[in-house]
Amino acid sequence: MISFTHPADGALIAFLDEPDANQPIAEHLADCAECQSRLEAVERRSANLSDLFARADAMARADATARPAAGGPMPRPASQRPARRRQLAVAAAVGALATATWFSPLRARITEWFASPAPAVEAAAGGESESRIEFPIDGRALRIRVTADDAGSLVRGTLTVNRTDSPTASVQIGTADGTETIRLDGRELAVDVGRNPAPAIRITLPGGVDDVEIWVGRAGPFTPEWTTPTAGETPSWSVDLGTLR
Amino acid sequence: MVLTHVDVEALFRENQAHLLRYLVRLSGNSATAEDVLQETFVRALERADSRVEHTRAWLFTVATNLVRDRARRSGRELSAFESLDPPPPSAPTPLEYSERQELQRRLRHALGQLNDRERTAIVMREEGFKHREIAEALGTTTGTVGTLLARAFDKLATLLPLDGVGQ
Repeated sequence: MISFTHPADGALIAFLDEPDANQPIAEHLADCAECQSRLEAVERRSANLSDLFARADAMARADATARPAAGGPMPRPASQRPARRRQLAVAAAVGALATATWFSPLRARITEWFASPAPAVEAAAGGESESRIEFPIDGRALRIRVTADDAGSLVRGTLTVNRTDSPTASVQIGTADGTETIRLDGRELAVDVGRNPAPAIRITLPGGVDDVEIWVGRAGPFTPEWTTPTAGETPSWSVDLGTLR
Repeated sequence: MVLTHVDVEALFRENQAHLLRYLVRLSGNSATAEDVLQETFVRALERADSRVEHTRAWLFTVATNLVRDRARRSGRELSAFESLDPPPPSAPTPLEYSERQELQRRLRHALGQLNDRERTAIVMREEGFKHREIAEALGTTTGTVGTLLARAFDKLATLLPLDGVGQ
């Protein structure tokens, strides 16, 4: 026997989300094929919407690594956004040190994620494209800037590392002559990786981190690499930048 | 619990990625989402040393209210937001890029057809919030949240392929 009148779609969604908290609906569903069918339809819509969101998110992350080529659409610098300037002023007034250490990398990361990307970075003659690896949580940052030659291939790259909290961290950069290991001592380093047909970067952070996200890219058409190690994983990653030509 | 500055930092560290994703969906505009994310953090810092229950839900509620305040101040419904985040200029795009742009555009457009409360409900649900938490954020009842969600699904289903199997 059906225990009460047919529940509204909203109640079915509530049951779908929190079945334990909606026992009367469970009892009704046990006896009502019509509502079981409606519940399945609600569930299908929910799953399909989640799937669409997930696909869009994955695309946004992939797009984020595709930096605009020279002449392409670039995200506006932070200083050109009035609202952000105002908020920074407020933040400064609050005076939290954490604000200062977080915002810069966070902003950079956000810009990376959601900047309107070019479909594939084809560096124009003499142009530049920039790839970036960010440690967004505590201000550690590592950046790579590559410069394209007239043919659009990588000529040279500069790796800049700025860490102050882990003097034993190291970065290895693959070069045409082998792998060079740079030991960080808290200073900012700039490294010329030279002409390299298949550059790779390895980052080791013995101090451990909770949240690291890495974007890499290169001049010329490329397939972006995206890695997000989860908390607790060994904080060491190798990133293959692929073949440049 | 009484929030300290350290708590606020930890709260943000744990939630910033999800919060940003939520704000992009809610506002339909990445620059707005970015700004609101930072403003939310500032608000959270201002609340340090005061008592806050259900901190994650509170954080999202603050962010939700900031988005709604902005929409109110600018005198427009968020449903107009689609135009705020235009696709990049035309370029020699591969097919895959076109497809991803199309999906993102359709999602933005579909969310833009919801009213403020429907969109907040559907996006908060997608972030895993309970109906009770969504109700608190919207200042309404759980029953109304169910109604809002059902209405939102009905509208979205006319614009997105939600009713097929394995889409």
